Amino acid sequence: MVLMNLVFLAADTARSRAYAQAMLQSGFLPGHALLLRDPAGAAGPGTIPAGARADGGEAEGLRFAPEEPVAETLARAGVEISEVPSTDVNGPTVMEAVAARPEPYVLFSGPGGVILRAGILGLGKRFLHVHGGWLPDYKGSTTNYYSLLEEDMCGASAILMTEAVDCGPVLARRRFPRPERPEALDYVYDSLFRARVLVDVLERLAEEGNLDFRVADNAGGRVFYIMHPVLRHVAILGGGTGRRAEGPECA
Amino acid sequence: MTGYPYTGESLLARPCRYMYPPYGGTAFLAAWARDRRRCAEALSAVVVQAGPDPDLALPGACLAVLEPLAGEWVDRAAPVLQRCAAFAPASEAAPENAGNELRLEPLLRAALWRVARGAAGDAEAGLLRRLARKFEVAKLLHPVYGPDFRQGRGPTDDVGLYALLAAGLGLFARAGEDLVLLNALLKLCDLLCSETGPLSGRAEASALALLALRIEDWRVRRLFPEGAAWC
Repeated sequence: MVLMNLVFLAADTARSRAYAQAMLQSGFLPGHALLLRDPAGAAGPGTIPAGARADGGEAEGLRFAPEEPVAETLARAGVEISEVPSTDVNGPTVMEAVAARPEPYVLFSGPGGVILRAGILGLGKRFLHVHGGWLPDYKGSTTNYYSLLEEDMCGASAILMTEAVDCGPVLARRRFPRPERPEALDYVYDSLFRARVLVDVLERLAEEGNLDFRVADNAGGRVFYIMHPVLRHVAILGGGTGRRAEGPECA
Repeated sequence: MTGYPYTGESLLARPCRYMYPPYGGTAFLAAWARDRRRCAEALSAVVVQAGPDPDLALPGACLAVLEPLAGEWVDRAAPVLQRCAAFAPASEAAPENAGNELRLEPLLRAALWRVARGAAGDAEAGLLRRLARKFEVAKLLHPVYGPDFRQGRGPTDDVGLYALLAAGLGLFARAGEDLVLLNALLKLCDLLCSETGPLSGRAEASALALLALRIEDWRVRRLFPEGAAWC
């Protein structure tokens, strides 16, 4: 089913690839895709590093093959693509491309770590974003690593974006158990978990024709900042606040 | 990955964003522990060399007692710091600020003093959490801020400010496992270990950095249920 009221705004990141593959597998496709390309060919944050081992994964019935470029998946799905020669989502080139589209809803999957500013948020569109964490409890960056440390679980939550980061209304959310290969959280599982929640939203968008529904209040919670590599390693290796003993034995 | 890559260059000159770090397994944690030991040795040498200098706010003799304790039980470190009378501010009152300016150093000193005595209240908690957020976002600290810490002014290369904040965060978070503060502490410790050159002439800042490193190490190791197999 083609959702004619939805445009997919994507850089070719692991997350965008997971979204495209999930949309193809679920059969809920965007009416159009705007594919952001760096004019100089630079790889932005969230791009799977060249030569990096990126074995795929599965979650809740979805499969993810990180090596497949987003354009290839969208082409297989028959989604029309317009290339945008910029990855600056707050810059004029991207804003003009978004403003020119007729779809009222924008599925946002830009370069990693980017925050949408008032300019693009004020274009009269509504931006759908899937946050990699359980809202409202885990706001901010790298929150699935924090929830692994605190609760041995991950999450994903779909929201409509507002100027306050991760504070928009929650449209869908799910919890996920610790992945089999937590070291692949960045490039595989975090993207896959978000993609699974995205499918939940697209199903309801197809049923209801709009994104006016809500599943949870998004008030409160804590804001986390990008996790230090030492804590990331502790999370991946199975350490955590909830499972600590009296202390290590080594000196 | 054979080394710990986050302290080799000055993080004051080139702040680190820590985006998408590669996974290095237990070897990475072992490299981190080795790098921190190297840093602690350099800082210890500065403190020992300074000796019981009466002009130091935090005398080396005091740190000689504090340093090994902090590595094991942070709660036991606080009363030791409390006995370091030279660190006490002249007044228990909150430092006065000129006009709308917030001078960071006296604020941090007063907060650390109260935290170390187990007397931290909402004001200290608010200050330390606010500065942890500030550091996470900007990666740098200014000596002077405008109202509500909105606008920073002045050079950002005073390692003493980072050492004060690191020690304050470390001692403050001793109750519970606050990952937000531990995350900021890890980044502050990276910064301090990337600046052992400037710290070599700063005995008090070195002592505070040493204390922060001990607390950091202790907290990270507590996150492993069966002991830290990589150490």
